[in-house]
Amino acid sequence: MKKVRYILFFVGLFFSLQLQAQTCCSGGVPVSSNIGFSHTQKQVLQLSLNTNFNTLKTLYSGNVALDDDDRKRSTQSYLMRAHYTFTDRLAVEGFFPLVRQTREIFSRVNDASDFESSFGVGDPILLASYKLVDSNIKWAVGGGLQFPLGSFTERNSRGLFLVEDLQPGSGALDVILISLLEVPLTSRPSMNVFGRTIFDLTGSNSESRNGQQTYTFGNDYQFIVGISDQLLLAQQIIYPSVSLRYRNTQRDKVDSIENSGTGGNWLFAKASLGINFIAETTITIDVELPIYTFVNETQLSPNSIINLSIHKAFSFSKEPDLFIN
Amino acid sequence: MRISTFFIGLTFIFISLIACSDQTEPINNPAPGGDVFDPNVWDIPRDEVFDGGPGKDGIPSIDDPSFSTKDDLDIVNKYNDLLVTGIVHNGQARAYPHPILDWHEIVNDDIGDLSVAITFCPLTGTGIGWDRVVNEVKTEFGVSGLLYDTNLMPYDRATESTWSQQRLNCVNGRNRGREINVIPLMETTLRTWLEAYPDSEILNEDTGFNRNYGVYPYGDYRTNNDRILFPISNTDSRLPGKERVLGVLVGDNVIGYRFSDQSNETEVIQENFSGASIVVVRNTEKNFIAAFENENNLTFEASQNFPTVLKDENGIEYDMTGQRIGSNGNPNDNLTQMKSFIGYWFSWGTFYPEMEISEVESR
Repeated sequence: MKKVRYILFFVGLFFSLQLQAQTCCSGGVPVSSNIGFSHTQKQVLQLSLNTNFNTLKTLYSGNVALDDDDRKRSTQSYLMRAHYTFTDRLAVEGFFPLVRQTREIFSRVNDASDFESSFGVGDPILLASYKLVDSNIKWAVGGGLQFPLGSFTERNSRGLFLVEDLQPGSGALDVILISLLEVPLTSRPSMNVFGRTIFDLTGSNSESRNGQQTYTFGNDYQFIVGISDQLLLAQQIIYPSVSLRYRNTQRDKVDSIENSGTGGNWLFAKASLGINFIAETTITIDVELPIYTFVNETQLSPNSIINLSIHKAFSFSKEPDLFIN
Repeated sequence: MRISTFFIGLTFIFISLIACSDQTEPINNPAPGGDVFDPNVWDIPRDEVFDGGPGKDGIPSIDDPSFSTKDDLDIVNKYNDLLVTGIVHNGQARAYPHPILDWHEIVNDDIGDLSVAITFCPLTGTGIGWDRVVNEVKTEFGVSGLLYDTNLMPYDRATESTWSQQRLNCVNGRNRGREINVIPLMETTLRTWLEAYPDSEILNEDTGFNRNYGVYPYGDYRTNNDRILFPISNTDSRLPGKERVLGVLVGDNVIGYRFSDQSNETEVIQENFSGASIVVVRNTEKNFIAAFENENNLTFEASQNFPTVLKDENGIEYDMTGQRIGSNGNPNDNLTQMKSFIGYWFSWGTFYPEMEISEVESR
């Protein structure tokens, strides 16, 4: 039973840490909510590859969607993740992102279209976590840094600097804090209720705009609650999950003064499905849709977020294997 | 499965996904005739040109404007105490409310035989009339989405050239170096404008775009002197940054005139500047200020009988755009507005750092 619960905990946590790349217009550089920890037994290495597609096509004024389909923004993120548990409680995790940003404006003049894009290494993240409670209920806390290694000086075809939210990197050092809670249902041991809190405390880029201004993306707060389960379907183990995510992003700042048209509040609903197709290897797809939007002033807002991931775990422990084969 | 094998497999998938996700970029339309502007030559420092965020035509110009009259009480009640940019041409008056201009920045309009682009930059507070006939070609102007010294950069659709609104010239593209012909405009409240021109047309919200025109998009920007959204090349602290100042351009020299903080009556200022005789009329309560050529060096006095604001020594009376009113003089005895426009003080200090500020007493 302990073996099964470890597996279920791992699966539940995995679903709860799906990549949530966020484009700006709604605040911040991608990889802001792609955080979480899969705490298994000690000496387990987990590797995953995530691809994430975030599309923004709806123009909002406050909580009113405007009848305007003349613009589209998208962020495509590709994350390589590695997670290692040193002990039953202590783990570290790293993310290495590649980010592609696009902006397309459809002009009603001559049916022309203006297209801008960038592609490059984003800001990597390094996190550590510690499981404070490790009984029937599991509670882990952690923190880390998002390092400003991604480029923020990409130019378009005319040699002009792209705007901040089209850059792969932010140029700022962020501090990330996280809390993760999982509670199994006694009536159904395979089902877990999970909750997650993420605080992204953003730093400032003093070299923004050709070194003339300081740009600060808004702090980002996210709260996630969901349910995961494990089912047997046609002799195949599947891992369905549903969750709600509330996100609050504060306004960006230019030279410490708040910027209009940035920040807001959102509530998303997500459905996930994972399949364990070979030993300790899982493919997962999830779709997230907004069910409530409120933006400051007028901004584009996400229409859909789709994530595809492949995940593999390797155990180096001499203890009995805790994974289902 | 060995770790190395799995990692190699992941890397392969990773690279494949990147390659497959690469999409073909749409081709921007070349200028008519097949010419494509040279993107590499700018008359201003290229690294001082910034993408404002919305993108080219992301702030859509109004190219087929729709107008109401004062009988449209919804428009009048909504905008009566707010600023408009107005124009009078051959007796025909039109007003363009700033709450609509804030969202579109350019209106391509035809008033009789005059083709004019009403250009307005919310970030520098500058409303300037641009002649749409450039190099003998009638064009439309659009919003490029670029900013120089935090000021609007229009582009002309005939050649895809990029212009600087407050520099009044083209800085990139086939029209590079060409000066724009400035058409006089007037900035005041809708209430004052309709008092002077009761038959005026008023740009309405039937723009073809869905925007919340009742909401100013930039928060406290108009009144926060410390808030500048994009880099500027020069800071001039002689006046508060967001004070609205009328700048009058005479050749390469510029002089600024302020609204009075001493009086709410109509006042007149007369002075010579850079070889030109200028007469300025202003009224802070009614929120207008204008500068006219005074080639004949006449003496003017202010009139408190609005819409009459000026009276010259020959008894001819004029309104705030220099149109002759009353029975004295000839029908064509209108005053000519000088090359001038209102802007936030910080933008004058950025574009024209040698600018003088008039200290002549009004009367």
